[in-house]
Amino acid sequence: MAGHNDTMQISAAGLRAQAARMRIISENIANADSTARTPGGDPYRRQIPVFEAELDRVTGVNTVRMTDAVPDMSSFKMEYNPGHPAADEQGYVRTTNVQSLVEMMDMREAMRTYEANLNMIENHRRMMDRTLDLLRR
Amino acid sequence: MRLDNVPILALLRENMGFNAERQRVIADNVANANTPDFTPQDLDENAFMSALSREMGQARASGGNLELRTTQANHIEGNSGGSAARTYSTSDSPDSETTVNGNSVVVEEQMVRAQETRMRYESALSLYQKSIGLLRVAIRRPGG
Repeated sequence: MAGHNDTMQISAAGLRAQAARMRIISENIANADSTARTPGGDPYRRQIPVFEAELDRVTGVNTVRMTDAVPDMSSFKMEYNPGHPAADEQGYVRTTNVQSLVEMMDMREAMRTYEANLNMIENHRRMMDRTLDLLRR
Repeated sequence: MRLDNVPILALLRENMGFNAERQRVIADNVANANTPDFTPQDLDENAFMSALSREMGQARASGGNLELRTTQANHIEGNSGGSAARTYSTSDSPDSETTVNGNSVVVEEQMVRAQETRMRYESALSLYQKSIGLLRVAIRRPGG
């Protein structure tokens, strides 16, 4: 029977992709207040993880991978804070385009999908366990 | 005697192979639950069932054995493991919702499908165990 190992590989690829996404999200949250150091400079720009289905050439199975993290080009927020080192001539500081609500939602989604992948591994493991029981009796 | 020559064991093994393969496809769907423009796949159960029943019919006609079909002159004849050569056809089967990025995987539906597949696999497996048990009863020494 082919594909028993493949199932695990696919789910593991799913886990890896969601973990990488989590890393990007935590980066976004950690930098939610990062501003520039020079007057009028750009603050931290939110990153968006990109997933792609890809063919693993070694095993020949279709898996998933987080291929890239692209910057979110939405506009920055402006905050009036003349004393800030990054304030421009009018006294405005550009702050990040990270929205913690959006990040939280993304994080929850990543968690759920991670759990779903774990569930598939557990499911498969139990199937294999029962099959190996054939040897025992 | 090969165990595959017992029709019920061959049938159950084919069933288990199908469900294991289906589990793999579902794992792929779950792994791609957030991939843009991904459409979940599923195995064509009807095609499998009709192919299987056709083969079982042929087997019954040829004296109870599931024979390897030889379509080329250099194919090996005989009763070597049949399902090693079996290929399953997958087709698009989008779930009930499609997200804005074109992904139509609904994790809940895939989970239900995975559990269903596991249950089918395990019931075939239990039947397999029972059938082996029957064979074991048959080969036991009387009174032993």
